[in-house]
Amino acid sequence: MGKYYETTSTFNYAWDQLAKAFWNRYPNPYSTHVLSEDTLFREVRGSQLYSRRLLTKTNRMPKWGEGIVRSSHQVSIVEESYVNPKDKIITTYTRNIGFTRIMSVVEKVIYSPDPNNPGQTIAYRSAWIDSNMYGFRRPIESFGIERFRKNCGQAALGFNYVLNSIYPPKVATG
Amino acid sequence: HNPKVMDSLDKKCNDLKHAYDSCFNSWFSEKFLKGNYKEAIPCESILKMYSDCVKEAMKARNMDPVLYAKHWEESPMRKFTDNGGKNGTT
Repeated sequence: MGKYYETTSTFNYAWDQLAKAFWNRYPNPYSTHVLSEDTLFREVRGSQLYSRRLLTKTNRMPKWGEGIVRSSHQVSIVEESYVNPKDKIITTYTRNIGFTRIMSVVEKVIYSPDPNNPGQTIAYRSAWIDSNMYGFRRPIESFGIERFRKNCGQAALGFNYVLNSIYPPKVATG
Repeated sequence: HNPKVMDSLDKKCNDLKHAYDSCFNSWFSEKFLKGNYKEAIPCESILKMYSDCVKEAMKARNMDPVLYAKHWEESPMRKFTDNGGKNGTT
């Protein structure tokens, strides 16, 4: 049950550059809904770095949803990630905590070099969106997919913004 | 509040968070990404103080630590391992 969604985005930066900027992708002008970010746990496992972080975000709901969800306007997110510099892969698993009966969004993102262009990195993003709200399941899931689609675009714009400010584009000469 | 850096869950943890983040960031880009996997992550003592502060803040907000400590494989994320290869590469 639930809805599945996937998308890819390409960054014009090599994997190593992207990896360096990864922990600094917030704040940016496209992620003003991200309120806080904390590291809960971190360790090196073999040649991979495992991190578990807590993010809080504002919980944007459609007008019709306000009657169903009366509580808090904030949602907590756990982001687990593995950074594997050997194989040049960053994998993140993200899920919301709380309100999962209303809507659960689980997301996986893999950042790896573009096989056709080592100067670029591709983010493969996939997500499952589920609702267990009797009678509202379908409209909530449809809303969730729509919002997720928009957020994917914002996430890519935001990360690009940060990458651009760390590595200003080279000015062409000659 | 500094618009250039993220805040912690609780403002009282901000100083520890920012001290830890800058320590971690230099280790990450100067050591770890360059292949020094064996070297212990420095800043462990700051991390301890910082995460204690966050735990305290979570407790004050009635956030159940068990939910937050769950590993993705035992959460709804397992969908990514048993969705019939829909998830691409790993």
